[in-house]
Amino acid sequence: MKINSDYYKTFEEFLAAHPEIDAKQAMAMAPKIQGYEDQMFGFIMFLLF
Amino acid sequence: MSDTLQLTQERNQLFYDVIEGKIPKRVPIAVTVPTEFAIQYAGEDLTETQWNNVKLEEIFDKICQDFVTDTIPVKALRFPSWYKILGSKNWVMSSGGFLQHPEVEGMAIEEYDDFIANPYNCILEKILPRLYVNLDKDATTKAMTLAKAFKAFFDEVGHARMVSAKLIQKYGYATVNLTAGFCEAPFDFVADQLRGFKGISTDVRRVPDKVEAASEAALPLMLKAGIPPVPSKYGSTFIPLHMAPYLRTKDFEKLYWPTFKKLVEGLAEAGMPSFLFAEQDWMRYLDHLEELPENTRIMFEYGDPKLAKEKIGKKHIILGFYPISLIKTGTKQQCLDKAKELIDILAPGGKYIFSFDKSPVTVDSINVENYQAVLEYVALNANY
Repeated sequence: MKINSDYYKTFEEFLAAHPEIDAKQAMAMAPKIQGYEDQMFGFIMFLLF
Repeated sequence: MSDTLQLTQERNQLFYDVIEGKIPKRVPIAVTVPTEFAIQYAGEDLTETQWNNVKLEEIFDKICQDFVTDTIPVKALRFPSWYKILGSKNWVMSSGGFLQHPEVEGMAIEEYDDFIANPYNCILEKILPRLYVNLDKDATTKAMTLAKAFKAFFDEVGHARMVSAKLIQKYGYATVNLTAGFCEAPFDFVADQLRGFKGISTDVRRVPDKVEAASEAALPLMLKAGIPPVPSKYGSTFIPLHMAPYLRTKDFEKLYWPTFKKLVEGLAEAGMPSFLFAEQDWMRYLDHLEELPENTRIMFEYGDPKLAKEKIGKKHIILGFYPISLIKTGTKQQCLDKAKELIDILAPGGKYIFSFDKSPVTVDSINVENYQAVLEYVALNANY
């Protein structure tokens, strides 16, 4: 789910900011990069629960 | 098949049947004690053990040995490390070793518009630095602090999850996870740590439109937080409900209910049922609760179990209502009689999971023998 913020980027947004990443690398790294983004989101929200 | 694996399957089946609208062999039991209770029960030091988790498995194991349940009977939620690293003002350890949540105001009334315009930006730029003072520093210090806290959080939570998984396997508990996700009703999120109880109580009267818009703005964050990576109709997202009983019904209907309903519906559409803890007395909102997606799990603290069963018991799954205070003050027979009374009211037709109205916080807040006797009574007698 997309969150509109300067501090949350989907992998597609991350990729757009890194044109040096080729297609093979992108496919390999997508779950991990998105996973860390979502883990940080979860942590930030937990600080307010 | 090992005995414990078979036990897990049998216990899972109790929950599957309840969730699928079938009559289970027996009323399933889902009760937990918090980490603080478990540490006290094991006779260990509260402060030291929460900072040094090497004894956690042994401590949790003792709870598993002594309390009969169908799901793992102890749950770890918070540890002090990341709160201390961040300089937390909203979770502070007392001299006795309890993490306490003082009344805080993370967001000033003048900041509603910032939050409404972009809640996640507002959280990171304004709210967190106010509640976590070590984030109110220069950019480098802030980055280092957040990195340490993030590491501490996942180390602690990861260890606790690993311990739980081992004990689930060792004792053959159900793998159904009633708290697989966690979020808050959008209004409660705005109230709890952003505006505080005092602030939100005033805002409801003075700036209701801002409260309504802030709850709408918080909804996408709560949805994202509440949907786990792998949703399951047998799991659920835990949502503790706080402020509704303190609102006038007309304020509830305008400010609380719309975004809360959208949240529960949104989670259900994503394949994740909600497990609501209806704190205080929700009896005047039963007709609203009836509107939520089928099979919402609702744990009640206070109220009339007959009325709840009558109004929502065919559609939703009911838990709670057993007064934990009776475990402290009642005789063993009175405690067993209360269990029988509630089972007679809530078990017919299924859709009932036994639990107390809340978890015991400390060992001396209950009579442990009564607690054990009630759990054994339900395990042996609540058969269909």
